[in-house]
Amino acid sequence: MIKNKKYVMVYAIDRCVDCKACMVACKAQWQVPENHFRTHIDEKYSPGKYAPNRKYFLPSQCNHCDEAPCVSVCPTKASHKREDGIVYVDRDICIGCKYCIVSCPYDARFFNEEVGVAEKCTFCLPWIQQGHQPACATTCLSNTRIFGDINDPNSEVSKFLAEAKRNKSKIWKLREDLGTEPNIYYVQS
Amino acid sequence: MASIKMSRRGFLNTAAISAAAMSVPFTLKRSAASDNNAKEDKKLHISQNWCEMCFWGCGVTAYNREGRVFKLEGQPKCPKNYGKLCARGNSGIYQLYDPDRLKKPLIRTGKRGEGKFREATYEEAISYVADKTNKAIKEYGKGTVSLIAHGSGEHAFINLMSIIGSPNTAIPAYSQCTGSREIGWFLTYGRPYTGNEPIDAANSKCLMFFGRNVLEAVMVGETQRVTEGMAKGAKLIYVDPRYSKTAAKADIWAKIKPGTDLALMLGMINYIINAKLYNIDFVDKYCSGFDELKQSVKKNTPEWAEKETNVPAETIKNICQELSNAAPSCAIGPGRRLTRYGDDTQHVRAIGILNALMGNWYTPGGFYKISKMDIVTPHICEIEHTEVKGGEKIERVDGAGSEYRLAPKNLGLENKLMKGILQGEPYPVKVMFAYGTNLFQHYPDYEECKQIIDKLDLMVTCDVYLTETALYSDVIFPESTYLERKDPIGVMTGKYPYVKYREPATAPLYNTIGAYELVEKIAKKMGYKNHFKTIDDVNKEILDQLGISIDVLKKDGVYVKPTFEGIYPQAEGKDLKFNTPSGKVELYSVFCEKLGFDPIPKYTRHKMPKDDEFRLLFGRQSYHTHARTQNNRWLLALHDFEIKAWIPAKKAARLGIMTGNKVRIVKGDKKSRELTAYVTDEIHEDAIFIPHGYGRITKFMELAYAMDGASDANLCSNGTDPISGASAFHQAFVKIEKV
Amino acid sequence: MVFQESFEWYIALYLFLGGVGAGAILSAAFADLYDREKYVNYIKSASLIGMPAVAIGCFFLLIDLGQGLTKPWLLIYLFANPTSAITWGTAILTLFIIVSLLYAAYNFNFIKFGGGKITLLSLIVLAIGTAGYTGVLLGVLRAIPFWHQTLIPVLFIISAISTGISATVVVKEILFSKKKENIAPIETGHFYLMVLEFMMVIAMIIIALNGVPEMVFSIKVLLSGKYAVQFWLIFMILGLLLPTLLYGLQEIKKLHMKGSFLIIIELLVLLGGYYLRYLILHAGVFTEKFAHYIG
Repeated sequence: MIKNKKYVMVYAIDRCVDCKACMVACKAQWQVPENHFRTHIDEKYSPGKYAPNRKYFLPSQCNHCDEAPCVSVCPTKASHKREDGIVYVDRDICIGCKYCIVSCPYDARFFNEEVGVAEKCTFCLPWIQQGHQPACATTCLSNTRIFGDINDPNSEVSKFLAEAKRNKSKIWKLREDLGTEPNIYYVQS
Repeated sequence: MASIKMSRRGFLNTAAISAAAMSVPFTLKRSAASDNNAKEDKKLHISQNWCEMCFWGCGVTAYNREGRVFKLEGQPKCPKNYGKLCARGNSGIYQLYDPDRLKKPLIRTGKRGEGKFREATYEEAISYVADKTNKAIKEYGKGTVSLIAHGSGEHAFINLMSIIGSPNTAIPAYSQCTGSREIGWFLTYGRPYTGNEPIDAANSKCLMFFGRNVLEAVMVGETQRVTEGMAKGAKLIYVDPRYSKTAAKADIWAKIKPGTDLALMLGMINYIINAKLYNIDFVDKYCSGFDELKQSVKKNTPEWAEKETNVPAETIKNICQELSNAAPSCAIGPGRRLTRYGDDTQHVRAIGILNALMGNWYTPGGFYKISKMDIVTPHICEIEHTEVKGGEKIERVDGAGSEYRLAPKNLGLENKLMKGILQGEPYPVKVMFAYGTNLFQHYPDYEECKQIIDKLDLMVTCDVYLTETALYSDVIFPESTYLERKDPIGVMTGKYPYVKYREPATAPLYNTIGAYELVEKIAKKMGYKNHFKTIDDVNKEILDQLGISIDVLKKDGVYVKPTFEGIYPQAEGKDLKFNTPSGKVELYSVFCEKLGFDPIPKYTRHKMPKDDEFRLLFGRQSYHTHARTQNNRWLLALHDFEIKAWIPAKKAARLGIMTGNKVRIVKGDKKSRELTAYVTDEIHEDAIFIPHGYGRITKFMELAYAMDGASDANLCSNGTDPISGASAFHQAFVKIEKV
Repeated sequence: MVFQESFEWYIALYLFLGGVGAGAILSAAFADLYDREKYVNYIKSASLIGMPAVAIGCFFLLIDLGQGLTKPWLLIYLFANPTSAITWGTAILTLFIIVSLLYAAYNFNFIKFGGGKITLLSLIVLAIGTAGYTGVLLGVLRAIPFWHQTLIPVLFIISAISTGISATVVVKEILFSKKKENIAPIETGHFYLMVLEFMMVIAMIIIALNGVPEMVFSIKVLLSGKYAVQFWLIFMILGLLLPTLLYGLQEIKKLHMKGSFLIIIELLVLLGGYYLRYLILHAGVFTEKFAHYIG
C-alpha cells in the first residue's frame, strides 16, 4: 500500500531573521500582483529579558489545511484539495466571489485584480513537480523553511520533525482549535 | 503617497499601462492550464550570473522562459551564498523590467539639476565626453579627471583613469564605509580585515557585534553563517542604541548611549584583564604591549563604563564572561560602515585588542584565514601610462597616501576629493565620471554637492537609473543591468576562493551597453591607442590558467579552488606571523605612535545632544541596498511604502508625537521631507533613527521620489577620522517637528 | 488586527437589496394571506419593489465577481458545491426571483393564475431564506469572529422585513398616493420590528464586548473607532432611533405621518438598513492566527 504524497512545510522559527527574501522570491516567480504577497513575516512581541518586550519573527502562508474552510465555502469548487495535500485554486473555474478570502482564518488569500481570481500560495505547483523546492524554501537565507512529503519517513521534513520531537522542541500549528487541520508546523527549540 | 498605495481597484488601469510600458512580449495572465502542466519545461533558458543588487556578489542562476526572466536562484556551489538569495537579489527581475530605467544616452539641455535632457546616440554622447575631457586635460593636466565608482563595472572605469594617467579615483567603499575598519585592523594585525567578513560564525560559540546590524544588513553568506552558528547554539551579544532585527535575535542586547562604544570596549578590556579572563598563552606568545595596555585602561572599570554608556556594569561583566567561556571559539566583529564619530579607527583597534585577548586568531569559531586563487588576473587593456612605465607622478587631490598616510592611493578619499574639487586645491579637477554611485545620497549636504558639481566642466554618470547624480550630469550613459550583459570572470578571495561567471540572462531590453564596452569606446574616441581584449579573450586566459572548460562555469556559475592550505593555522598548530612593526599583534601600536596618534585607544567623550535634540543615526533595512533599490516596487511593498523614523518615547511624548504621525527632521534651516513616526522604547533617548536612501530629489525615479522620507546624507555630519581619512557621519544633532 | 478588505460596499448593497426585496415580498405575502382585498395596493407596491431589488442586488454581486462578467459561463458553477452557503444562496435567490416575478405578474393581471396559497407559502419560505441567507453568508465564517454569531442572520431577517416594509411604503406613497389604504397593522408590526431590531443591536454590542479580542476590537471600531460617526449618527440615530420614535408616537396617536415626510422617514430606515450591513462588513477583522503563540 503506497501512501500518497502529502506536502507540508516546517518553519524552524528560531532561525528566521525577517529578511523577507521568501516574500520576494515568491512574488517574482508567480508574478504576484501589486502590493500583495503569498507569504508574510509578522513581528510579534512577548515578554523578554533585555528589551521591554522581546520581538519574534513569524512566517506564515497558506496552511494547505486538511479541513480547509476555503474549500468548503467555494461555490464553484475551484478551490480544491488535491491528493498530494495541496489546496489549489483552479483559475479556469474561480469566479472571483472572494468568499474563500474571508473564510480563511489565516488571512492567507487575496484577490488578484489582474486576473479576477482568488490567489494564494500553491507550494509552488507545478515547479515542485519538476523536482524543485518551493521558491521561498529555496531562497530562505537562514533555512527556516523546510518543505517536503510528510508521508515519506526519509524526507527532510519527516526527519526534522522526528528530531524536534526527540529534542522536546515546541511544535505547534496555527489555530488548531478551529479544526482546520493545518499542514504548516512551527518549531521552536 | 496615494499614487503609490493604489486602491485595489484603481490598480487595473496602471497595471495595463505599466505592462504596456514593458516593451517585452509577456502577458500578466497565466491560465491555470499552465499551472497544472507538470511536463518538463522545454522552453527554459538558464544562465549564470552574480548578483549586482548589492556588492556582496552572490552567485545567481537566472531562469528565462520565452524571453522573460521569471526567476533568480542562488547558485548552490557559490561560497558567497550557497544557493540562497535575499529580498534584493530576488527583486533583480523588477529592476530589469522597471519602466523608470535609463533607456538611451542622454545629453543635458537645461540647467544642471533642471532635469532637461535630450536623447542621443552613443556615438554622439561618447564624442561629447571625449572632446570635453581632452579639452580639460589639455588645459589643466591629466589629474583633472576624477572617478567615483562602485560595482562590477568599476574596473572598466579604473582602467580609463589609468589610461588617462589620473590618480584621482575614489572608491566610496573606503572613505564612506569600511576605511577605518581596514586601517584599524591593519594597525593591529598587520593585514586589512577585507570585505569577506572573515568571522567563522558558523562554528562560533559566542558572537558579539557593536552596531554591526549583521542580521539586518543581510549580506547573504555572512547572515547565513551567523544564523547557522546561532542554530548550533552560539550566543549572540549585540550592542546598539536601537532594537534592530539583530538585537531581536540576540541573547544579550546592550542599549548603549550612542557615541560611547569605545568606553564600553575599554570597560570590557579592563574587566577581562583584571578578572584574568584573557587567553594567557596567546597574549604571551603573539601580542606586544600587554603591560602598557593594562596600565592604560586602569581607570576604565565596568562601573566607569556604566556611567558613560548607560550599559549596566553587571551586563558588561556578563558579556566578558560569556566571551571568555567561549574563547577562542568566539569573535567580536569590527563592524562594517564605520563612519560614525571620527574615532572609528581607534574603535576598531579596541575591537582588535578584545579579539586578541580572546586569542581567536585563525581558530574555528574565531577568525579564519583568507586565501586567494593562484592565478594572475589578466588586464583587459594594455596600460602604458602608469607610474611604473615612466608616466609622470601626480599627487592625489585628496591627500590619500600623503596627508593621510595610511589611506590607500588606489581607493582614495571621496569626501576629501570632493572638498578638493570645491576648493580647486592643490590643482583644479574639472571632469568627473560617476559609475554606479550616487553622490547626493552619500556625501554630506546637498547644497555642497551641487556647488562641487558646478565647479566641473564635465560631469558624466553611468548608471541604471536617472539618479540625483545623473540629474546634475551633463552626459548620462545608461548601463545594461547585470542580467543583460557579459562581464569578465571575477576572481574572488575568501575562506574558499573561487571564480565567478556572468552571462546575459536576456538580450538588452533597451539601447544599453556594459561598462567595459563603453570605456573602450570612450578611450578610442579620446585618441588612445591602447589595445583592449574582448571579454571572451580575458575569460579564456583565466580558464586556461585554471585548466577548466567554460562548461563548468555555465553549469555551476562558479569554480571553487579545490585545495588550499589551512583555514585555521593557529588551531592546526602552525606558527603565526603578523605583518606589523613588532611582528606580533600590536595591542600597543608602534605605527600609531609614529604618526602621532594614541598607540592604545583612549576614550574622549564626544559632544552629546541637548535636551531638545537628537543624534541622527541611520542605517540599513534588510531589503534595500544603499540608495539603489528605493525605486523597486516589490521591495517598497515589503515595508508598506512607509518610511519610519524611530523616535524615543519619552521625548516624543514631550513633543506630542505619536506613532503614525507625520514628522519632519529639522537641522538648522534644513527640513527633511515627511516620515512616519515610530514612537518606541526600542531606541536610546539620545537618538533618532532613519533608514538610509530616501528623501529623494530626482523625479525620474518615480516611486523613490514619491516615498518622501528624509535623506540622511543631507542631514548628517561631515567629519573625518584623522587616522584613516574616512568620513564621520553620526555627529549631527537634529530636531523633530510634527507636520 | 487585520481588517477584511474583500467584501466592500457592493456586497453591502447586495445584502441590503436582497433584504429589502425579501422583506417587501414577505410582508406582502403575509398581508395577502390575511386579507388580499384590504392590502391590494400594498401588495402591488411590494411586488414592484421585491423582485427588482433582489435582481439589482444580484447585479452588484455580479460586478463584484472577479470573472463574473468576463466569463459568464462560470455562473453555472455557482451551483457546484453543496457545502457552500453561496451555492444554497444562489439557488434560493434564483427561485425567489422566479417566483416573485410570477407573483408580480399575477398581481398586475399579466397572468390569470397566481398559484394561490402554495405560491404565497413558498414565497414566505424563499423570502425568509433570502433574507436569512444574507446573514448566514457571514455567520458561517470562523475566520471573522464578529460575523461568526447566530445573531447576525436573525438581525438581518428582522432588518430585512423592516426595510422591505419601508421600501414598499415609499413605492405605495409615490404610485398609489391617491388610493387611501389603511395599513395600520403593518405599521404597528413595523414599529415592533424596529424595537426588536434595536434590542438585537444592543444584544450584539453586549455580546461582542464580551467576546474574543477580535470581536471586542470590531465592536469598538463601531462604537468609538473609525466608524463611530457612521454608526451612531447615521445608523443608530437617523436609521433606527428616530424612525422608531416617530412610529411609536404614531402608535399612541400623537402623530400621523404621510406624504413626503413619511417618504423621508422610510428612506431613513432604508439608509439605516444599508449602513447596518456596510458597518458590520467593514468592522470584520480576521481572527488572530498567532493567538496561541508563546515566545
